[in-house]
Amino acid sequence: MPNRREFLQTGAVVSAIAANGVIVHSAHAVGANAPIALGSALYDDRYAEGRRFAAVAGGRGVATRPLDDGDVTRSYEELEQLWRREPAAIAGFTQFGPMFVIERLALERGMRLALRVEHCAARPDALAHRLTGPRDTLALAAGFDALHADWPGLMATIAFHVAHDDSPQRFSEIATPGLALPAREPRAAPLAPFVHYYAPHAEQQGHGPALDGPLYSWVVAPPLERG
Amino acid sequence: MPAPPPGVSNTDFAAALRKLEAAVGPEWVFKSDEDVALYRDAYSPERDEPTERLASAAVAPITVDQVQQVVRIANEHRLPLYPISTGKNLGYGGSAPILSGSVVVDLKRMNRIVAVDEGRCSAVVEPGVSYFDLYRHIQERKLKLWIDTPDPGWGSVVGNALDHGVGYTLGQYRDHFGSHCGMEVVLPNGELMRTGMAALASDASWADYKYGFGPYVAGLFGQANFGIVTKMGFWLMPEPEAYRRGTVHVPKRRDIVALVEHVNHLENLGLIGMPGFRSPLGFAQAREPELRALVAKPGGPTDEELDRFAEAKGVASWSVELQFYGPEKTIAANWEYAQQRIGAAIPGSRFDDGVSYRFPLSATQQAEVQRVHRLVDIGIPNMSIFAIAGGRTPQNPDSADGGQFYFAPMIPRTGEAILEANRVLGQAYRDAGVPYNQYFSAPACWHYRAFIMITSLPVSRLDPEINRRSRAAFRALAQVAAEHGWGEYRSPPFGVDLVAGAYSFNDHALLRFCETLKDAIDPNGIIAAGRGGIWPKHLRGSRA
Repeated sequence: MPNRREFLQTGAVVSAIAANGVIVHSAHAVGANAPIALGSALYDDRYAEGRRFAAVAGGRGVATRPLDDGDVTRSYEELEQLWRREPAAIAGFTQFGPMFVIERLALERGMRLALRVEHCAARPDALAHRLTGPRDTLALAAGFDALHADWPGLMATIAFHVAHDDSPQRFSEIATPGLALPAREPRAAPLAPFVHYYAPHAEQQGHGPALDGPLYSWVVAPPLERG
Repeated sequence: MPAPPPGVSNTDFAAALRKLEAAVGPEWVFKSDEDVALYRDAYSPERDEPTERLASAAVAPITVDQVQQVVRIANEHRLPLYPISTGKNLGYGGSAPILSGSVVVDLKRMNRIVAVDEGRCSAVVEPGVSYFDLYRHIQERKLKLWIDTPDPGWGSVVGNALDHGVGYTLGQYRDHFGSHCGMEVVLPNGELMRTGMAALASDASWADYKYGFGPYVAGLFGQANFGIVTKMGFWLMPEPEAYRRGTVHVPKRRDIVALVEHVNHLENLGLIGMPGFRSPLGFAQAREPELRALVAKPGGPTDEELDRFAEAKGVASWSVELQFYGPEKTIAANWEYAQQRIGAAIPGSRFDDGVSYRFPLSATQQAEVQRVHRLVDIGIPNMSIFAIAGGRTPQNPDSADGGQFYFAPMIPRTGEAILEANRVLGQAYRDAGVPYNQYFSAPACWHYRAFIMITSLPVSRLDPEINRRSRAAFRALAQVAAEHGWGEYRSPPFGVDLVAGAYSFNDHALLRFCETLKDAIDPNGIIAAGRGGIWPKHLRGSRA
C-alpha cells in the first residue's frame, strides 16, 4: 500500500483518491468543521484542465455547467435568480473575470468566496497554486507539497472538502514542477471574436490579443450558520 | 462598532446607528467589518493604502419613506451619507464613498419596476433595478421594446444614468441621462421632490415630457450630491424590424478626417446607431515587426511612411463599423447610401457587409448571436466583457487582476481632433511611462456629439506600485488634456477634484455655483461629499 505522497506521484487519477479514502480521512483528521455541500460546478471548457475539473466534480454527483466560450452571462443570470430564493454553494474552475462576477453576486446574496486557488506560472519550471481558504482545507492541501499532473482533478476533490469555517482565511502556496500555465485549446470552428471597447490595456496598445491570465479554482458558499 | 465618520463622535455615531436600525430594521444596517468590507471598491487603485476610500457602515432602505428617515437622521447627527444604486460602476469608484467614513445608503432593495408602457415606449424604475431586471421584465411580457444597456449589464439603470453612463444603440438612447424623463428625489432636508411632468399632482405623463414647466433642474442630480434619486423615468426604443452592420475601410491615414465627417452626417440624420472606429493598421503591429520598428523610430513615422506600409500590406489605415436599426428595406437603403456617399468622397474606400437580423430573435438565434456578436448593440444585457483574457502581453506585463480605471477625455468629434489628441496624449503617455498606441488609437463614440479618447489604466490587488504608477499617469494626463480643452466625462474617486478643477472658466465659476447650491440645499453637507468634485463647506479644504 503506497503512502499518500507515493500515491500522488504515481499520477493516479484523483477520483481514486477519494475512493480509497485518503482525502476523506485527511479532512476528518485536520478539522472538526463539516465540509460545505456543493450544489453545482462551473468550468471553462476551453481548457483540458477545466474539463478534468468538471469530470471529477460531476463524478461526485453535482451538476456541472460549462461557460459559453468563457462568457459567464448565462450562469450569472441563473445564479442571480436561484440565489434570490436560496443560497447554494458552487465550485468553479475559470479565469479571473467569471470568478470575480460570481464572487460579487455571492457577496450581495450574503455568501462569500470560501476557497480561492490561483494557478499561475509564477515559479521557474513549475505551476504555482496559491490557496486562500479555511485553515482545515489548507492544512489538507498542504499535505501535498507537490501536486502531480492531475492537479485539476485534485482541486475538484479538494473543493468537496472545503471546511464550513468562517474563521479568518489563510494563505499557502504549493507547486507542480514541470508544468506550465494551461493554454486554451483552438476551436475547430473559431468563433468571431468579441470586440470590446473596454479591451485590455495591452490590446489597446496594439500588442495583439492579450495572453491568458491565471486560472482559478474556487468555492462560493453560504456563511456558517451558528446555533 | 465601526470607527465613526469624520467629525462625528462615537456617541453620536452609535445613536445614529440605533436610529437607522429603528428606521429600516436592524438587519438592514451593516456595521460589522465583514459586512462593511463588501462596500470596498473592487477596482480601487488605492487598495490597502491609507487613502483607500472606505465606508464606516451601510444602510439599505426599501421604501422612499425609509430613505427620507435616513436623511433626517443623518441631518440630526451630521452623518455623511453616500448613496449608491447597485454600486457597479467599476472603474469609477464602485460602491465605495468618496469621503472615507461615509455611511453608504445602498438602494439595491428598492428594485421595483414601477411602470413599463409599450405604446409610449417608456419605463419608470427604482434605483435597484438592473439592466438584466428591466430586460427580463420586457421579455417575459413579450413587449416590443428595447433597452439600451451598458457593458456589463448587471448595473442599475438609474445609477448608470446618474453617473452619465452610456450604451451602444441610437444616440438618443445610448446617452442614458439624456434619455431619462422625470425623476423623484429625496432632498437633503428629507423632503420628496419630483421633476418634469412627475411634479404634477397626477404623474400620468411622468415619462412623456422632460421639462414640465419652469427651470429644468434634473441635471443637478447627475454626478452630483443634491439629493438621493429614488425613481427615474426613461425613454425606451421600440423594437426595430431589423438590424444590420456594415464596415467601411479607408486606405490612408488622413482619410480619417473625411471619414468622420461623413459618419457624423449619417448619425446626425439619424441613419445610424453608434459608429465604431478602429485602425486595422494599428492592430497589424502585433504581427508586423517592420511596422513596430517604424512606429518606434525616433520622431515617429510620417503619414506617408504609414500610408506606404499600409498600401504594401493591403491593410486599411482606419475602419468604421456602422449600425443600422429600422425596417429591413430602409436600413438596406441607408447602408447603400453610406457606401455611395463615402465611396465617392474617399478614393480607395472598401465596404464589407456585416451581420443582419430580423426581430424578434428566436431562442436559437439569440444563442447564435450571443456567440458572434456584441449583444449590447442589440440591447441585450450580458457579462461577456468579463470573458476578456488576463490582459497581459510580454510587452506590457502589468497585471489586471485588480481591474482598471479609465482616463476618458472628451474631444471634438472630428478626425483632426483624433490625430491631434493622439499626438498630444502620446507624448503625455510617454512622459508618464505608460505605453500608448499613439498613431492608431481610435475614439469611443458613446456620447452622441463628442468623442472619448478612453484608455484603461491597470489596477492590481497585489502590487501597489502598479496602482501608484496608474494614478500618477492619470493626474499627468488629465492636466495635459485640460490644457488642450479636453475634460474628463467621469473620474475615479481620487481624481474628482482634479477633473472638476479643469472646468475652470472664469475662476471656476461653475464649481463655485455648485458649492453655493450645496451650501443652500445641504447645509449640513450630508449627501455624497465630494461627488462631482462638490464638497460641503466644512470639508472644502480637504478635497479628494
